[in-house]
Amino acid sequence: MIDNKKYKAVVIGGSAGSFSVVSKILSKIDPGFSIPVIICLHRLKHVRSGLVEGLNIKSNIKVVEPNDKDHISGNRAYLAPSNYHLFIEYDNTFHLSTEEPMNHSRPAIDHTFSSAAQTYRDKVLGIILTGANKDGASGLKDIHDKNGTTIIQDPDSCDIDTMTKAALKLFRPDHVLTPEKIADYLNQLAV
Amino acid sequence: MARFLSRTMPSISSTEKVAGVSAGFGIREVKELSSVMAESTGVPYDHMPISFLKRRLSYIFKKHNIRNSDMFRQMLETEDYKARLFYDFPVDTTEMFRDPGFWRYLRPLVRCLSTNENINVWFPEVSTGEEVFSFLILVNELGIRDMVNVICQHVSEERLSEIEKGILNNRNIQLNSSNYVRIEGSGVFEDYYSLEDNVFVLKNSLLKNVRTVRGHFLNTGAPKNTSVIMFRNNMLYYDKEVSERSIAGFWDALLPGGIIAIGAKERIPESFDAKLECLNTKEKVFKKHGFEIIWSND
Repeated sequence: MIDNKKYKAVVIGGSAGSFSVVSKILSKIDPGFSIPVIICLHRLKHVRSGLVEGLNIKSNIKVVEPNDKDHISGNRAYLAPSNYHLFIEYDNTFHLSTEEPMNHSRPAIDHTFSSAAQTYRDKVLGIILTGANKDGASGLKDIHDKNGTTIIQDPDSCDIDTMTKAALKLFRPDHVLTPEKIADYLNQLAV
Repeated sequence: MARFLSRTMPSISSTEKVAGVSAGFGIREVKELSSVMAESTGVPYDHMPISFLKRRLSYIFKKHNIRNSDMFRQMLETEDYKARLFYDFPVDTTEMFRDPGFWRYLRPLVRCLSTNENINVWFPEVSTGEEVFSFLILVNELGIRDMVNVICQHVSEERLSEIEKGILNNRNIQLNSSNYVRIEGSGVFEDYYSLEDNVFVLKNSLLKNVRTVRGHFLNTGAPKNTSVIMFRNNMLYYDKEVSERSIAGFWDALLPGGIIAIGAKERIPESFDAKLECLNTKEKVFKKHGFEIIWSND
């Protein structure tokens, strides 16, 4: 059952084990997928390159690390840079920040998700993937509370299910799906 | 769209909110408050990103036990409170040798700039001392500490006092140490500081020739004849208009061939494309046209 909302963004968050899941989703996504995909993964702060290049190997849409104040465009995936929080501003641009780590993480998924909820309200689709802490759970709930759509990776398919179970404790998501089903779901969205 | 579950869900429990974006302020209220703050202090708070202002105002209201906007406006009328705001509002989380690749790139560049003459280095808006202290260690290891004059600037007298004393953030000392290893420094990081009354303090000898200036750089003007301007991750907190004005002022202050360093994920406004040469696209180091930098491998 797929909704027909006109989404302004898809936001994806993950930690331990999530690189391969995101890579799989991006490799199955329709090359013409026109909704911006904004990805926040926990990553080492002193390793600034390699992740985008790795995702681009299999991705069907171009993956970039945004600069501060970059405009958000469709048919692109944006990856939160190392050692910066990634926020979405009200004028549909990115705002990067060196504010203190949240949940021991910078970038923090909660920040990205919550700002997406504030900016896009019900026109955002939030997806939380495998991970070893609770970052992202509260931000995904913010999306849920603004009537955005929420997907949680099926904990049984996660390398580590702490993150997904933390989200499941907070609210009832719209969907709990395996990585393959997440890609299928995205490809069926009205774009 | 009807919400549905793909499988049986566990029971839902309530939890405290942990996410960082405050929903407590509306956009209009944030704009009004930032205008009042700017008018009352001369600092361009009204040119900061809305989402950032929301988070910082939430933080300030909580930290200062402010119950509502009217109370905040009243407090802004006193100089004592403004001093407190100047100290607490700016983002103060940084680390020494953040982005080690940047410092490895800067080291030979500064050595080239300082050949045979003293150089002036300006930090227009220091968030804490860590960035300045990193620079001082770098030039000390180059053997040119006596040839470098440093001016660092901030709106908070208290913050500047901490820098003058060389106070380090205890919490980051391990991180600072591991970053130092990554810049491949020639010394031992632990030799650069000592523990005094449970506070880590930079060696006093490193702080020679450091001058502090209180005030916002857009209001005070820029020191002339500057060779290096360190403005990393400051433009993040301003809009394009203030960013443009900032770079214009920096360009005026720079000597021909002088350099500006900005954050790895910041951009120099396009209007300066022809005026500033990008020396390193990854580390975001730019040079004012005028003199060629003669690289040396010494």
